[in-house]
Amino acid sequence: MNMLLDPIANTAFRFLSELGEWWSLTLETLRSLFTRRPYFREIFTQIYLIGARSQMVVCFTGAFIGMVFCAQIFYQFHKVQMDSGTGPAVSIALARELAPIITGLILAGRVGAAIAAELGTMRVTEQVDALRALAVHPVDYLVVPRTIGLVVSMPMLTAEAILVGIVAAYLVGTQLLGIDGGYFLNNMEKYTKYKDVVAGLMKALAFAWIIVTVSCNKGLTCEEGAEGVGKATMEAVVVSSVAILIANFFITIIFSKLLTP
Amino acid sequence: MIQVEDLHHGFKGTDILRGVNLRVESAETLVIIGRSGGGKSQLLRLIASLAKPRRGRIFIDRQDWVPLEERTLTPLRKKIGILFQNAALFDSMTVYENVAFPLAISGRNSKRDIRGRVEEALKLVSLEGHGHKKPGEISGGMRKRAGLARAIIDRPSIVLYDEPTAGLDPVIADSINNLILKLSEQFHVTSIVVTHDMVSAYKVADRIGMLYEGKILESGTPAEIQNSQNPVVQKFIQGRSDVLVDI
Ligand SMILES: Nc1ncnc2c1ncn2[C@@H]1O[C@H](COP(=O)(O)OP(=O)(O)O)[C@@H](O)[C@H]1O
Ligand SMILES: [Mg+2]
Repeated sequence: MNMLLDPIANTAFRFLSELGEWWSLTLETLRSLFTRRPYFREIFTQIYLIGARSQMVVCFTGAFIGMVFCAQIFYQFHKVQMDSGTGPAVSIALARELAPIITGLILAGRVGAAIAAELGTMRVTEQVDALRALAVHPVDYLVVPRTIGLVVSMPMLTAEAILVGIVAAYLVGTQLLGIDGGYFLNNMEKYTKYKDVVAGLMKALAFAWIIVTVSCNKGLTCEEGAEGVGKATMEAVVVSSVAILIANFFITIIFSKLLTP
Repeated sequence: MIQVEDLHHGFKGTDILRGVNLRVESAETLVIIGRSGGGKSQLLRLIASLAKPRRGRIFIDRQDWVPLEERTLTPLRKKIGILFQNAALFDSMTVYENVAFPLAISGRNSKRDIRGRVEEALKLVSLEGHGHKKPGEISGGMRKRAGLARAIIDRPSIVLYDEPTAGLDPVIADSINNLILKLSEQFHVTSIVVTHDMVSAYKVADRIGMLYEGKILESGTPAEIQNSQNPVVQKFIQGRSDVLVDI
C-alpha cells in the first residue's frame, strides 16, 4: 500500500512545493518591477544578450517553418483548387500559432537554459549569497533584468519570425510552387486581421513570462554541485517548454472567445 | 556589537550547531577555532543572516535579526562585510569590478571616487596591478584577498572573516593579519575571524572561542586559551592527533 502511494505522494508534494516557490518568485518579481529602482545597466545587457543575440536562430527557424508550411498547405489546397488560399492560411497560422510557439520553444532552450545554468552556478558558488551580503536583493539584480529582457525581446522576436516566415513562404509559393504573387499577397492581406498578430504577440508575452520565471526559479533553487546545475538547467528547459505548450492551448481557447479568429 | 543566544542549526537529520552562545563587543575581535566541518562557516552565514537558524537569537547592535524577512534584512546587511571561505567573487566580472561593486551598485558614488577607493583597497590586500583579471585567472589566495577587499570597501562596522589566511604564504598572511588589526584599531570594526591558523589567531584575537560539537566549548583571551586545562583545546591548538598511522 505504502509502496504504491508514497512515490505518488512524494511527487505530488514536490510538485506543489515547486509550484509554491515559483509563485512566490513570480510575486516577488512583480513587486520588485513596480516598487524598486531598476538596475538599468543590467537590463540593457540582458535585452542585448536575450533579444539581439537570439535573432539569428529565430529568423532561421521562422523562414524554414514558413517555407515548409507553405508547401504543405499548397499541396492540400491544390487538390481542391484553392491555390490562392495558401497565402492567408500561412500568414494566419504563423501569426497565431507557429511563430509564437517556435520562438517560445527556441528561447526556452536557448535563453531558459542559459539563465538556469548561470543563476544555478552563482547559487552553488555562493555568488548569490555574496550579492545578498552586499545588500542587493537577487530578485532585483538578477531576476528583474532578465524578466524585462525577455518580455521586451520575445514579442519583437515573434514579430520577426512572422515576417521572415511570410517572406520565405511567399518566395517558395511564387518561385517554387507557381502560385501567382499578386493573388498570394492580395488574399493574405484580405484575410489576415490585425487581431491575428495581436493574438500572437500576446502569446509571446505569456511565453516570455513562463520561460523567465521558471528558469530563474530553477536556477535560484538549484541543488549543490555540477550535478545540481545540470539538473536545474534540464528541468528549466523541460518545464518551460511543456508549460508553453499547455498555456498555448488555453490561451488559444480564451482568445477564440475574445478575439474571434 | 554581536550577540548570539542559544543558536541551533542543521541540515536534514543532522545537528550542526547545538546551542551556540557568544558575544562580541564593539571594536572587539573574536577568533573562532574548531575542526573542519564543525559548522564555523555555517555560524558566520547565520550571523550575516544569509540563512535562518532552527532556533535562537542573533542580535546585531541590539536588534534581533532572526525574525526579520529578506526584504527588511537586505539593506541592513550593509552593516556587515563577509569574506566567504571560497571568496565567492562574481566570476563574470573582473577583480576591479568585484571590488568596486558595493560602491557602484548604490549609484551614489562618482566614477573617480570609486576608482580611488578601489585602488586603495587593492593596495591594502597587495593586489595592485591585478584589477583587470577575471577571478578564474588568479590563484586561490589572490581570490581570497580580492574577496576581502570587496567585503571591506564600503566600510562595514562588522566584518566576518572565514579563514582569511588559508592558502596564503606566510608573508602575505601576515599582511592580512595586519589589515585585520588595522581595521579593528583605526576604524573600530567589530570582527569575527574563523581560522585554523594559530599564528594568525594569537596575533589578531582579543578573545578566542573554540567551537566543538556544536557549542562554544571554551573561550578566553589568547593567553587563557594557551593555558587551558581542557585536553580538547590543548590538542587543537598544538595540532596533535590521536589517530596513529602505521608506516
Ligand atoms: N548545504 C548543505 N547541506 C547539507 N549539509 C551541509 C551543507 N553545508 C554544510 N553542510 C554540513 O555542515 C557541516 C558544517 O559545515 P561548515 O560550516 O562548512 O564547517 P566548517 O566551516 O567548520 O569547516 C559540515 O558537516 C557539512 O557537511
Ligand atoms: Mg568553513
